[in-house]
This record gives sequence, C-alpha cells and structure tokens, in this order.
Amino acid sequence: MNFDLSEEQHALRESLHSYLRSNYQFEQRQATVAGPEPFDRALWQECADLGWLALPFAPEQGGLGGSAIELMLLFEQCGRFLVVEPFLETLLMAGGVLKRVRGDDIDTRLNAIIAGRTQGALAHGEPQHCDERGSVRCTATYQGGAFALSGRKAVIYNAPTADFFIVSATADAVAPGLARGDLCLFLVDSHQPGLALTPYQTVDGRCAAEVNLNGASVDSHRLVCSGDKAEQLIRAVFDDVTLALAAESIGAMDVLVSETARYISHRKQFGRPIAEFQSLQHSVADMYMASELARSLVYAAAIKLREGAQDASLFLAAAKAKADKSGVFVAHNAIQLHGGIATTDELKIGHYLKRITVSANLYGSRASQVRRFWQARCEPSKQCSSPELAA
Amino acid sequence: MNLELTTEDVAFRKEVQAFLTSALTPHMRRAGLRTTSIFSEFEASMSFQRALHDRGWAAPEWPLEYGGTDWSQMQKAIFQEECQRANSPATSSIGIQMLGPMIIRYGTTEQKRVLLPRILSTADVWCQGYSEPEAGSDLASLQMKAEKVGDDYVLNGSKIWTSLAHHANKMFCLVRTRKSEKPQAGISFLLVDLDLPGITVSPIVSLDGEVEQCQVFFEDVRVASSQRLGEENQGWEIAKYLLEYERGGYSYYVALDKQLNQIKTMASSACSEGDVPFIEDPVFTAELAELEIDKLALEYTEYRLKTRLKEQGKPGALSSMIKVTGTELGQALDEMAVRLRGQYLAPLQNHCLDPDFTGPCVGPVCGINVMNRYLNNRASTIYGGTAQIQRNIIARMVLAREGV
Repeated sequence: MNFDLSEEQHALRESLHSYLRSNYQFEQRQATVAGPEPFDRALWQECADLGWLALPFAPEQGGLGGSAIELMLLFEQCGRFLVVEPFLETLLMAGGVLKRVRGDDIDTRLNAIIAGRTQGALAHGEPQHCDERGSVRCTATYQGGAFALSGRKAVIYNAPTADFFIVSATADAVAPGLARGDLCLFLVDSHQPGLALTPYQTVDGRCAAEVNLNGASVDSHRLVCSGDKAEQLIRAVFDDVTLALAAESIGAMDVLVSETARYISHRKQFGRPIAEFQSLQHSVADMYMASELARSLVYAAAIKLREGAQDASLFLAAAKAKADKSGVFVAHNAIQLHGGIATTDELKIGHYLKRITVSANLYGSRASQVRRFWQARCEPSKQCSSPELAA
Repeated sequence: MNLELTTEDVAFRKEVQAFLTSALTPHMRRAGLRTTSIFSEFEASMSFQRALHDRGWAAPEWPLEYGGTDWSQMQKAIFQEECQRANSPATSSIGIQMLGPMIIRYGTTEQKRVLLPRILSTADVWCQGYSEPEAGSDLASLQMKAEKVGDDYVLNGSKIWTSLAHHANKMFCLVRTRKSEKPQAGISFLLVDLDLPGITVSPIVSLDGEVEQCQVFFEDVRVASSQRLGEENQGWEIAKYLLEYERGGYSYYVALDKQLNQIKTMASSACSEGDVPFIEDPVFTAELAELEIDKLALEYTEYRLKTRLKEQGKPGALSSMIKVTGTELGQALDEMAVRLRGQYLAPLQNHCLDPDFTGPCVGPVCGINVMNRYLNNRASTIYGGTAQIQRNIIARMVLAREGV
C-alpha cells in the first residue's frame, strides 16, 4: 500500500499547478466570469495544446489514457483555482459518454474535444432527479426511422456553449432493438430543431441552461447507447463525476485552510494577531482535520476506481459524502475566521463556499451518497455485521 | 498509489491468524470481548503477553536486537487487526510501548540488559508516574521533589492517574531535581521500585465502579541515582520522545471497527419504535452510515501516515489529528451503543465482565460491556494529551506551515 504519486503524476500535478498559478489568479478568474464569454476560450485552447484535454481518453482514441488518479489530480487543481472552464462537462460528462460508445463520427468528435475545438454537455438531469438514479421522464418516440425527443432537462451545465448534447430519454414504445422503458442516449447537435435552451449564469461562475425538447426529431443512428448498457454507462460517467467533484473539494479546502491560517496570523485585533486566540486556533485545527480526512477518502476512492474494484462505488460515495461535509464545514469556518471581508464578492474565500455548495447538491445530494454508501456496505453479504461477537 | 498488500503482508496475516488460533484461550477471548477501556482484565493481559513473548512478538515496536520485530508499519497494523478480530485481550502497553523505547534510546548498557527482558517476560510490570494533582495538561509544572542526598534521591510528593499502579511493581516517573526559570529544565526521569519504604498506592474508583487508576504517594522515598534514566535534568526531553512514540504505533481504526461491528450486531436485534430493528430504521442507519464513513476516513488517514513514516520522520501533528479523531469517534460510537443498549444499560452487573464468569446476565450478552466502556472512554479525550492540547499542536503546525 502506498499513497505516493509516480514521477509522471507528480510532474502532471506540478505543471497544472504552475500553469494555473500563472494564468488563473483570482482576479483573472473574476474577469472571465464577468466577461461576455462564459469561459476563457484562449485558455481552453492552451489547455488543449498542453495535452490536458486528452487526459481522460484512451490512447487509441487519441488520448493520454489517464487513470482515475490523473483525473483526481486535474480536478484537485481545478478546485484550488476555482476553474470555470468546462473540464467536467465536456471531458468527463459528454466526452465520458462518447468515449464509451462506438459510432461513425464518434472518433472525430473525440478528436475535436481533445483538440479543444468542440464543447459538449450531458443533458441527463431533470426537474425530478439530478443524478443517475432517478428515472428519466424525457421520452423518445420511434417514428419511421427517427426518434422524437420530448421533455425537459434541468440545470445543464455548459449547455449554452455546447456544440453537441448527449440527451437521455426513455423509450415510450417498442422500437427496433428497444423495449418500452429502456434508457436511451442520443447524440444531438446544438442546432437541432425542437431543442430550445433557456440559458443563465450560475452562482459558481459558470453557465448552464434549462433544455426543452419539443418533439425534436433525431435520426436513429444518433442513438449511441440503450438499455442496460446505457444504465451502466451513465453510472460509469457519474462515478468519474463523483470523484472529480470530491477532488475539486479537497483542492478548495487546502486553499481555504492555508488562506485562513495566513490571514489570522496577520490580522490584528486587541493589539495582537488574532491567531493567538485559542478558539481560533482550534477552528483552524478542526478545518485542517476535516480537510485531511476527506483527502484520504478521495485518494482511496481514486485508487479503487482506477482498479475497477468491486467496492469502488462504496468508496466513491463515502469520499463524496465526506468531501461535501468537510468542504462546507471548512468554507463556513474560513468565512467566520476572516470576518466581514469574506462575506464580500471581492475576496475569493466566499466563492469557494459557492462552488462547494453547488457541488454538494448538483448531481445527487449528500443524503443520496450516504444512502448509496450504506447500501453498498450491506449489499455483498446481506449482513452488516460479523457473527463473532456473541460472547 | 495503490492499496494492495504485498504478498509478504498477506502471508504475515495468515501467520498471525494461525498463532492467535492456538495461543488464545477461551478465558483470554472473553477478556478481550468484555474489555471496557484500553486495558483488559489484568491476568488475561499478562497471559497473552507471555504467549506473545514465547513467539517473539511481545514488542513489535522495539528493534530486533532487543527482542522486538522488524515488522513494517503495515504489518504492525495487520497484527493489531487480527488481534482485535480474534478478541485478544489488550496487552499491557505501559512497559512495552512506553518505557521500552526510552530505555533503548536513553538507557545505560546495564539498564538495557537488566530491564528490557523483564518487561518482555512480564517479570516487571510498570506504571507511569507523570501527572500530579496540580500538573495535568501543564505537565512541566510538576512538583514532586527529588533531592539529591549522597548517592540517592529522596522523593516527596504524589503522582495521580497512574494506570495499573495497583498491579505494578515498578514506576517510571518524572521528578523535579532543580528549580529553574524554565520549568522543563529541572526535570529528571527515575525508575522506582514500588515496594520501597514510604510509597503508598491508593486506588481510585472510576465511574464504572472499577479500579484502573491510582494515586501514589511518596514520603522520603530513597531511590539510588543509578535508577535514573538519562542525565539529571534531561527528563523532559525523554518524556517528549516518549509522547511521540506513544502516538506512533497504535491503530485507532482497528478498535473502531470492532465497535461498529458490535453496534451492527446489537442493532439487528434491538428494536426502535414499532418492533422494527434499529438496523432497518432509516433514521438510525443514516447516522450509523455517517459514523462509518468517518471511520473509513480515519482508517485511510492512518494508512497514509503509516506508509509515509519511514521517509518523513516524526508523525508530529498528524498523530495528534489521529488521536483527536480516533478518540472522539470512539466516543460517538460509545454513545450510539448506549442508545442501542436501551433499558439494559441500567442493571449494574460488573461481575458479568469478569472473564471467569460464564453464568447468565440480565439483557443480551452482546453489549454487556457497553455502559462501562462509555463511562471509561470519557477519559480518552483527556489522557495522553487532551483533545484541546492536541488541537493546539495541530494549529501550531498549520500556522507554522504558512511561515508565521
């Protein structure tokens, strides 16, 4: 057992960190968020040139074959610098579906993603559900070689800039190769007639949209996956998403702990640095502990996911649940210890709270992670305890 | 990064399992199951330690040349896991885990030759004389006097919270040999025979009605200066080394796993409202799942610490974090177990916890130790450096990291 990064992994982390330190100071990030474009396209192109957009894809798809460890390292840095560029949405969600299916133009699209030339979004979440477990109410009706897609997709991050969508829908009638009720995943272009967006900004500095499908007619060859395979695929994509969001949180927490320690060491009240007050010291200690404990579980989950371990989903649920809880705790304390200044838009501290809070609620709640953990814990043996304790 | 155990570690686990299967008597296992603090019933503890000694495993933390082992940190954790799983009684940690490393580091050749084998074999049973009525967290303010008279020290004062002093024949203690401006500077480390004239051991009854702690009084007790460990006035340095050592080798997650297992067993039979077992009550399982996630986070943090110790030296603030988290989580699980015990926590039946007892007791057998353990473990965030002191240490490290 070891938790050390390989030389290559270490180098990846260093290069991500030094690039973002030079190009992604908080002021630069805020300028992007306030600007006309939802994110910095020039920076996205640089990330493509540096090879980072190729990380999640297999070498035969033109990617670098990065494992869950590399994804964790990427998103930890995204979390540290509050990156708003759509690494999660284009690479792991839309790209995460594409890389797991076969089709004529799939490789072309993957190449375009890796080259930074195209943006995608996974239109899966709906008003009634927001992760892989809810049943999909959008419908796909088969009519003479095409499917008509109807329904509403909720809070689809990166939708306003997406060139293509992966849309999930439930087959509402029997079709070739499909049973009624099967989950279907369609590849849909953004200019598709019958697809309408209501775009908006998000509290964490990104863009998203409500996506309405009004009988959008999609060729049957755009059905990229269906049935049990589609269910499994969505689960696999959300495993990556879960890890990425948890990794973002440990990056964010690391910054919050350091910034808070530095701030209270310099801020003077009652004639001395407020770091001399024990109640503040204990808050910092608690923040540090919360952050490190979450980090350990994220490491464990990344390793389990890389290895395709049977209990990977248990560890992912635990890591996300812990990272969410720790993240909110650390962010609350960081604001409290900074005082009034951290309640302003000017300081970056509060922006971490916004991202962490969104992350904790976007693709499934904390409660659903805890439930998932518990079910995975009890599932294999149908028994949660061991019998050796009878005295 | 990987979580694999090496083939040596897997083989090692089997070896430990095989040893425990043959070495543990039913009496020892009952003592292990009925443990209500960090100590198990004394005789069972000693028998187990002798069995370990016969196997050469009595002191995993010591260097091989002094009768220790060459186990890796992971192997030490595996050993603890297997001991816990087999319901082994706790071994006496005081001589082996606390004093031994000090003698090895600071002792004379003669002290090592004479004392170390007697610790391993249980010929000597040691207790630790640190705290005093007026010196708890502020240990350096300790006042027990040791005046140099000829070649002896004459000891006056008292030590308190001395675990197992009523079973011990020897005490290692910190005494004041010089008054100095810096309180840490005038402290020496003495090894004292408890049968010397002038020593009185007075047991302290804990909340559970049992005795684990004592107060020890010293009145003109003469101790030969050859019984000093290290140099005169070097005691504080030795004690600090000991405190770091004390926090290095223990795995909290192992005991927490056992608590969790017990809770799940209890929750399968104990019922919440409407005849539903707690284990099927969503309100209860949500809380339990959260605690189990916290345990898992601690477990992997402990692994991170174990696998980095070698290269990165002293555990320092990270071990403080493990101690705080491990003990506070243990207390949370104790509270949960108490709730599951329900009305059966009321019957006072300490006799059922005796490993010799095999008769009937009131209420379910699983969970018979819960109330007493709950009471005893209130001390876990006080002893060995309070949770507040540990947080001071962690904060100091986090602040120092930022260069301030």
